[in-house]
Amino acid sequence: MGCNMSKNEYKEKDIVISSRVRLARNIRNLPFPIYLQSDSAKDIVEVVEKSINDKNNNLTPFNKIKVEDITANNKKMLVEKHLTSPEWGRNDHAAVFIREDERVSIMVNEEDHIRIQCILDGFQLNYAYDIANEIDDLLEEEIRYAFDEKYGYLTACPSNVGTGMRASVMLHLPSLTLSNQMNNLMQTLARFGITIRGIYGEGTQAMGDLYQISNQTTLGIKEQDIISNIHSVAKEIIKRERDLRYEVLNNNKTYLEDKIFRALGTLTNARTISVEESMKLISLVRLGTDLELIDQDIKKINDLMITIQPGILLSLYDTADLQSFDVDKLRANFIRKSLIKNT
Amino acid sequence: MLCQNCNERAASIHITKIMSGEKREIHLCDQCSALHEMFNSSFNFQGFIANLLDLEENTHAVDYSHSMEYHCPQCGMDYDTFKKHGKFGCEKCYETFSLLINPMIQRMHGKEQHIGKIVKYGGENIRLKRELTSLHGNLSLAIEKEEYEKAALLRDQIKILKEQIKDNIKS
Ligand SMILES: [Zn+2]
Ligand SMILES: [Zn+2]
Repeated sequence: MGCNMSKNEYKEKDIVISSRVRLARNIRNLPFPIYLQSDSAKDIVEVVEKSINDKNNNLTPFNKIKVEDITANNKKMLVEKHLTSPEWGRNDHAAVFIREDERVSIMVNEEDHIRIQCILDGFQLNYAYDIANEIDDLLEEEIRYAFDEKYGYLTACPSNVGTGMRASVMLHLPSLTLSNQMNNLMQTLARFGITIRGIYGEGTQAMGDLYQISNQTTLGIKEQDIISNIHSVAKEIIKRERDLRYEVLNNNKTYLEDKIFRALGTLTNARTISVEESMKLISLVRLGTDLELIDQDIKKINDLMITIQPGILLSLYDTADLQSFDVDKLRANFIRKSLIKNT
Repeated sequence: MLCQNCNERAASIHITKIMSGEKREIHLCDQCSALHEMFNSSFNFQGFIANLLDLEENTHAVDYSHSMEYHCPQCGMDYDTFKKHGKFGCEKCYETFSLLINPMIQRMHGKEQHIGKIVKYGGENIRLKRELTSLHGNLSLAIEKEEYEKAALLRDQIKILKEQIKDNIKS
């Protein structure tokens, strides 16, 4: 049963890039981070560290990163990897514990005292929740959470109260975007308490046709129901996107092939390229890969979409003087190297 | 004017938004406005909470005229500061401002009672109370079906559970 499930979830990898679950928690009898004294803030970092480093817990090791210790570019990189948030980087007493495989992160002193997050490849919301939930239980051995009978886990912002949980999946929806169906979809979903928004972009213009679907409400609903709601909505969207892909392929193959091969041509020849243009073109190459029109590795393309973000890209180059780097030139080189097969 | 999101209900919230230097008016109904923030990342959340609270102040029977007098005894937060930032200062704020914020939270989530995970430590009575609620449900059902033996059994269980909850509160 469990094995079947993960196989099914894996099958959606043509459209589902990743699954994410985040739990917001606060410690009893301490003000929330914006009003917290620096001594107490440091104590929280220590107690979280103690819980996850306990020799008896068999957890994969975590690395600690403190906001005060890292460069502006590395802050940017962590946000682009979805391991922290922009708000995290603005609190001097914030820290983050990142599991070595970068699948789990625990933000301390962001908007809430503790935010546990698990992000996995493909369609694996249940598994992501299990991992986050396990860490939640582990932290509770050292920490007493702020909790209320009526409002559940108490959070700095009332929009997170109750379960404190946000579950989301990242979907690649090039066909729905090309056929202008996204706005309609967004309005329909809002009525079901589900949000869909573009990734890395402002407003409705999604970069690389990537969208995040997540729950809007956190109170008066069970964790399992949040997950199954997102699950069924995502399944429906996946089906629509897939149907549309084959519809275009059957009715208008030359048009589609032309778009995809032009994109590949630009990516494998460009000498300088912006994030926006790369994301737009990589999205087409990803679509072409899924439809087996071109021979590329889908996992590699997923990684490419993340790696070409400015913060991550610059973090790959070990230099103190980032000013002198031409990011668009670096990006073009990096993309050519990834997509052109040697030998 | 109809709500721009659902095109079904009348718009009751009018938000002015500046996007890339351009002024835009958004007209939403109560329900859709509650859903709007998380819908759109560029939306201003603080303004959103303030809008919801304005709405409550104008439409509900709650008396907001003394809202200035409310101060959280633990963190010092006052109602106007909360309204401005949309964020609480500590867990006690939920209690301090409960009268003023309960309708807003209900509007935001469409629900008002947590039914998810319960803390491991200090959550014992909440767990028992949930059990009590479900036993009461079963009892009504048994009575409805005229299963009186079962009902008697359930009543005993309820009595024990109530005692247990009382004992927990005392200790
Ligand atoms: Zn509406
Ligand atoms: Zn307070």
